[in-house]
Formats: sequence, C-alpha cells, structure tokens
Amino acid sequence: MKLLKIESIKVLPYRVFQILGILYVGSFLISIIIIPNIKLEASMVDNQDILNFKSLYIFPEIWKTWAYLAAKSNIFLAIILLFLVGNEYSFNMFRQQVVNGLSRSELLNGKLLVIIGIALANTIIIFIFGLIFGFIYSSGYSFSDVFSNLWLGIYFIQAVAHMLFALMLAVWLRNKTLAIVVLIIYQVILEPIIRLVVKKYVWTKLGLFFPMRVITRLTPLPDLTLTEFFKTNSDFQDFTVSLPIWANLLLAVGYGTIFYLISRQILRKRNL
Amino acid sequence: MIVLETDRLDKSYGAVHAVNQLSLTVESGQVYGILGPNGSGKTTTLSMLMGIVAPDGGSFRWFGEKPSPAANIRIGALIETPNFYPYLSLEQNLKVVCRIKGIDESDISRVLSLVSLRERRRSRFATLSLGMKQRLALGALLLGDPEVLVLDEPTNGLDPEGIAEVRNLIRQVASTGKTILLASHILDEVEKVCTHVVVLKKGNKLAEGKVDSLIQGRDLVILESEEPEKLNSSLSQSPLVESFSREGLEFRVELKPDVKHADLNRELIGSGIVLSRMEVRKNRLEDQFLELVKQSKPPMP
Repeated sequence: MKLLKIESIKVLPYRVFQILGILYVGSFLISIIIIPNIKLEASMVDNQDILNFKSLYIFPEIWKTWAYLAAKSNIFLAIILLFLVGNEYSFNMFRQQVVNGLSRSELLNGKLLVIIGIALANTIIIFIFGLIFGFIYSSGYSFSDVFSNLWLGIYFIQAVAHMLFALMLAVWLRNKTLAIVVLIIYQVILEPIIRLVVKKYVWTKLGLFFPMRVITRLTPLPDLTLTEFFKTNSDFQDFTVSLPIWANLLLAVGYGTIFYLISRQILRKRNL
Repeated sequence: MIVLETDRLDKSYGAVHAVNQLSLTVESGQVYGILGPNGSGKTTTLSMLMGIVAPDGGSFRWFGEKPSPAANIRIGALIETPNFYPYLSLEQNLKVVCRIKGIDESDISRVLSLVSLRERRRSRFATLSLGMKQRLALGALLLGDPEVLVLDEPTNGLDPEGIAEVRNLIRQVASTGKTILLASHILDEVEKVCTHVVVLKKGNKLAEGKVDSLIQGRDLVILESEEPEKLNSSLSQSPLVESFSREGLEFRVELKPDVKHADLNRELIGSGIVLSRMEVRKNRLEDQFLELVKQSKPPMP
C-alpha cells in the first residue's frame, strides 16, 4: 500500500506517461473503429465472407480479437516502463530513495506494482470498450458469451511479461535511451533473426521458445475463416504456427519470473 | 550513547583506494565533521553508511544495529547533490519522502517554511535555482525531525548568504541535541559548526578528535632580532616558552598555556633584546589541516 501510494505520486503526474498512455489507448481505439469498416478487394480469395471483419466484433469472438489487437501495441507499454525506471536512474532517485529508507527490494516491488497497475488499467479499458462495441455489433448473444474473458486474462499476463522484460533491460542498462534502443532492436530485429537461424540450422520448433515470440504470440490471430486461409497457405505459416496456448502461457509466466529475478539480483548487487 | 560506529570500512574503485580501513565512532549529540579535500573519500564513506555503496571490507552499525532501511528512516541524509523528481512540485516531492519514512504529510509545510520555500511549494523542482534546490534538500532531510542528520557538503554551490543560512540552520538543529555527521572540504565550516572532527586524505584517517583541542593549538609567535644568537639563548632559557624553532633569522615560538605574547616581549626587553619583528599567528585548525593534508593549494574559504 505504501509502495502503491509512492508510485502513484510519482507516475501519474509524469507528462511522458500521460502522453504515451493516451497514444496507446488512442491508437487502439482508432484501430478498432476502423477495422470493421475495412473492405478488402481480394481477387485471390473466392469467398468474400472471410474478409468480413465485422464478425470479429461479435461476443465472444470480440475478446479474442481485441486481446490480439491490444497486444500488438504492447511495445508502447514496455517503452513507458523504460521511461519510468530509466528516470529513477537518471534523476538519481533509486539512490535517494534508499538513502531515505526504502529497501532495494521495495524499489523493485514498487515497479512491479506499476507494471501490474498499467496492465490492469489497460485490461479494464479494453473490457469497457469491448462491451460497448460488442453490444453494437452482436445480435444474438448469451450472458456467458459476453463475459467469457479468458483472452483478456491472457492479455494481462502478456502485458505484464512484456513490461518485466523492459524492467530487466532498464535495471541492467540504467539508461533509458539505450534501453529503448536495445528493446526495439532486440524485439523487432535481433530475436527474429536469431529465430530464423535456429529454425533453419538447429531445430524447426526452437524458434517458438524465444521470449519475445512466446510473449507476443500469447494472444493468437482471431479465429476466422481468414485464419484458416492463412493456415492452409504455406506463405503465411509463420503467422499461425504456435505452441499450444497453455504451453505458451506457462513459458510466458516463466520468462516473466526470470526477468524479475534477474532484475532483483542486479539491483541487489550494484552500487546505486 | 553511540550513534554510529564503523569498523575498518574499506572501499576501492579499481586502482583507487577510496576509503582505507576507516574506523570512527560518533556519539549522540556530537556534530561530527569529516574534513578532507575533494577525493579524500568523504562521499564514498557516507554512501556506504547510507547503504547505496557496498563496502569491500569492514562493517558499521547505526544505533548499535546492523544497517537496514529502518535505520535510514531515522536519519535525514543529503548525499552529494539534491535529488528530486524534476517534473514534480516541491510538495509532491516531499510527499514521496513522507511516504517512504512514514511521516505525516502535515510536516511538509513546517519544513518548507523553515527553509523559506513555502511560496514555491507548487513550483516544479526543475524551476528552482541551485541554492533553492539545496535548501529543499535540507528541508527534506528535516522532515519528521530525525535523530541524526548526515550532510555531504551542504553549502556547496550556495552564495555567501545561503552559506550563512545553512550554517545557522545546522547550528540551530545541533543545539536541540541532534547528532550531525557533516562532510566538508571547507575547514572554516567544520571549525564553525562541528564539535568533533576526523581529517581524511586519500581515504586515510590523518587525525581525529575534538575540534576545540585541535584548534586550541596555541598561538605561534614569530620573532626576529638583529642579535639572533642572543635571542636564541634567551628563548631557550625562558620559562614562558614551550618550544621554538629557528629558520634563518626567523624564530617560531610556541608559548606555554595562558602566556600572552606581551609577557614574552616584556621579558625579552628585560634581558636587553630588541626585536625587529614580532608577529602573532593564530594557530588554527587550518594550519594543522594544511599541514596534515599538505595540499599544493589551500582550500577555498
């Protein structure tokens, strides 16, 4: 409770946090408003029904769609976290707070609370907008359809794991600019390349176990006839081949725990 | 009561031996100065004591207990620069400190008035001048009226008025019986504020003791005469002289306790010695400090 209050005093008035937060929610809202109105002219597909995105907005399918869409911009959340933790270093505040009487594990647990808070707030926002859009686009639905929120739960874990990765980078590198560059390079360039290499030369499935792959693929492409199309078309196999959800989930929780423990170890040993 | 005890504290950064086997004891109510030029290990020592730098060897105890966050809560400490969140207001920054230390937020307005920053309480920290930042840091460490203050160069970067203000504040706090640990490279500051002092050079302890007795070093009288041999023999027989040394024509004389330089003059006149020069030099801690530390340059006053 003490840590939660401290973090909220620090985080909420922070302009970068406010702006990135608005960007994240805003970009998500724009994408969910635009998508149902997309009309694709695809000549290679016979059945035009599979391109009807509106079917994605019907209970309970909407939760899966939205978890998938929201997760696409989780890198924003990771960057917000890099800013928040990077600030503690650049303003010498980890140091000052220990001087003032916070323990090093409290420093880290404060950040863990921030991570959980951000993930929870997003999940709730998605849930509220999901309800609104779901009621607009669905016609026949049952109570259990509306509240089958398994995917939102998975989204929550995904967001937490992604931010824990960012936490580890920030604690390790102690410099937010560097950490942001490393995060983006690793996630977008480095790991995909490594995955390609191990897939080709080591073991086809090994690529599926890499942290970013595990974390970003927790929420799969929504079930659609369109997805079926991807699955049967070998060009798109990489999009759809995945570990079973439960295995992915277990791995993500495992990775999150490892990131947290590594951060804790670094923070405990280093001079501040 | 012993507030702080260190036992052979040791820290190296690579080839630099920042603090070498430092043992010291600070008792309740003392204003304890750590005096040394820049790079003598003052900040490293305080950083170890506040738990932000791990010692390579040795140990220390606050309030007789092993170091812990709970001990830090009882201490108001300013290490190096004032650290705050630049985007938060003074009030918000102090709220964070209150939350960490478990202090009621009503104490914020008291300390802000104490350091004359009350009108600025809603300003962002980043908008403060350096002197104001330093004052805010002092205010922050007075939150909750802690038993012990740890101050690292508290007058750094302040204008003369600010320096006087800060020293007054420290003396005022000290007069309430609080224990203060003050690191400074300014001798004058230590002399004016502290009761006890340890002198550091390159991480080594050079001297330690009461400021009074270190300062008390008796005044030095410098004499010259056109008849140096006569003066020499007269001084060596004089009951007023504790000791003296000779450098060319110049005699440096240390008098016995409670002897005034006029007494010496009278005696010398009595033995028919005419002085061509008589100069009294206050033998203050400064001379000893300079001697101890043997700097090429004296510290800036």
